[in-house]
Order: sequence, then structure tokens, then C-alpha cells
Amino acid sequence: MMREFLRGIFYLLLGVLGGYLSATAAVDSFGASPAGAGSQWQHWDVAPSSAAHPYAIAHYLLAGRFPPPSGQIMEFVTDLDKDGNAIDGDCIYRVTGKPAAARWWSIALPETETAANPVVTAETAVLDADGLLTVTISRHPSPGNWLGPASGENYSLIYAVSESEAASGTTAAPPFTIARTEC
Amino acid sequence: MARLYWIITAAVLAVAVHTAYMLLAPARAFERNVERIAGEAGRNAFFVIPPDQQNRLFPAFPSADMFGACAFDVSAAKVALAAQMPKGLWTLTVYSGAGDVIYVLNDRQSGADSFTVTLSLAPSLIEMLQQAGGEDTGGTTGWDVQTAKPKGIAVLWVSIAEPEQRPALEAILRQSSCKTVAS
Repeated sequence: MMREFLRGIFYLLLGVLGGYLSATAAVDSFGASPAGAGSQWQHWDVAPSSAAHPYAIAHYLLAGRFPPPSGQIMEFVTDLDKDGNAIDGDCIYRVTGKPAAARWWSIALPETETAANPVVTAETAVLDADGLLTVTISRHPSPGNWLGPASGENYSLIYAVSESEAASGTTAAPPFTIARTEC
Repeated sequence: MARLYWIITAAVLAVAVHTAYMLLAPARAFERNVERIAGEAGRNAFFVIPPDQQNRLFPAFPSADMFGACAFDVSAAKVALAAQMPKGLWTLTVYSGAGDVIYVLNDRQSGADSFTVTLSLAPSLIEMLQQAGGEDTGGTTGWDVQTAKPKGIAVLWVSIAEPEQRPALEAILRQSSCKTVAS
């Protein structure tokens, strides 16, 4: 009798744990898809028509954020450089690429501990004569476009792009590569 | 046979916990964030989101950008958000109480920097059947948005190219209002 009781408790706990873990795992992975073949950038499709909609929305809400407005702004996130290594706060990186022909875009380091978000936007970025953007990411200030992580921990980069042609088709995929230059 | 019974029970429980978690946890996290940023302003009042909260909720945006909001509750009456927007790039996003994006608008789609969005509770199926010809939702001074959940939040984002412009642009945005209106 006691053995049967314990077995029941075990299976009930297994069910609760399985349900909880499957939900958190689905939020982390099911709503995300690569921005393109071989791309390090991930995109959570929050459009209501998306099959992963509840998981993509939950990804933002459980992280304490508001989801980006679908149809207006798309967001892509990566925590890996072009070689597949985690982006390390103690290393120096160079982000290069031609920004999308969109009204507004940004490349940001999500920093909750600092007074100001390190962000480069379409309005503040300096491009070269060919329209190429180069952003240096390092703990210490660097000439040109620069983003400074607050700590030496691993971090993610967010690329956000607004509406129009860039946010309505496949061209919205981030055109940037992230290369480690020094460590 | 007893083991099969418990395995099926555990599986059913796992599905129930998974579903309950997805329905409740993200919405609760969103609700907590809305209550936190609304602070003293409370429901059905316009406010500018404090910069420290802004960085956490919208990390892809520069700290110099500005976010205004109205945490609404349409359970008792309609709520009118009368927005006064500065010239330039801005978006309006209306989130339901569950964190879903239910309405978006930007400066180009609006065609005006001064407009009113009237928020109301969507009629139930029975109420829709009882209505003779349907409700005209095409207002002359703005837009009507119906929400299935009584609570939610409308967020206005204003892109600011130069941080020095913020005080002047914030003064314009603060002329916006959010209050209940007679049905």
C-alpha cells in the first residue's frame, strides 16, 4: 500500500516537473529560428500568425521585456561570433556590414546595470564612403562607432530594424558579421 | 496495469502543467512590469516611462529615446488616449493584458502627430449577435481599438536623434492624455 502511494507521488511529481521543464525549454528554443542559413542571429517571430507565437511572446515577457511590435520592428539576437564562440566581454570584436535600407535600425548591448544602453543607431552611426558600417566592441573607448560592455561577462547583441522593405521580407536578416580581433 | 495508469496520469499532468505555465507565467510577468512602470500614475493615466525602466524593457533602443505609456483598464468604460507626438519617427503599440500586440501604428501610417485612440472591450459573441448592424468603428478623430481583455498598455516610442532634443520633445509628448470617456 505504502509502495503504491509512493509510486503515485513519484509519477505525479514527474508529470509536474516534465510539464514545467518542457514549457521553459520550448520558450527558449521553439520560438526561435535562425535569421538565415548559417546565420548566428536568432529571430523570435512574434507575429500572431506564427505557429510559435505563444512561445516567442513568452520569451520576451519572461525576460522582463515587452515584445517588439510585429510589422513595425523586427529584432534579432546573437550571443556568438562568426566562428561560433560565445561573445566575451573581455575580448574586442569588430562588427561589419552594410546596414539595411530601413528607416531606423540599431545594434545594442542589453545592459540593465548601466544608466545608458550602449547602442549604435541609423541616426548616430558613421558609415564609410561605400556605406559600410564598422562597430568596435570593447571595454575601453575606441574611435569611430563604439559599444562598451559594462563587464567582462559573456553578452548578447541585439539588432533591431524598423518597418518598410527591411522588416517585411527576407532582406531583414542582419547583414553584419561579428569577428573577434583581440582577446 | 497500475504502472500504465500512472504513466498516463503523469503525461496528462505534464500537458496540463505545460499549458498552465504558458497561459499564466508570461502574462503574470507582463502584468508585474506594467504595474511597476505605471507606478503612481496608475491605470488610465498617461506617463513617461522612467529611463531606468526603459532600458530594461526596451534594450534595443537608445536611452535618449522616449517612451510614453497608458496602462488602461476598459472594464468599466472606454479609455481615450489623446496623443501629442513630436515630428519624426514614432510608433504606437497596444499590448493586451497577456502581452500580445493587438494594435500598431507609426507616424507615416497615422499621417498626423495629434490623434486619439479609443480603447474598449470587445463585445462577447452574444453581444455581437444582438447588435443590429454592427458598430461603426471608423471614428473621425482617430482610431478605435477593441481588446478581448480589459487591461493592457499602450506604448508610444519616439526616436530622438540628438539627446539634447529630449527635453523639448518630452514637453510635447507630456501634453498627451489618457482617461476614461463616456460610452
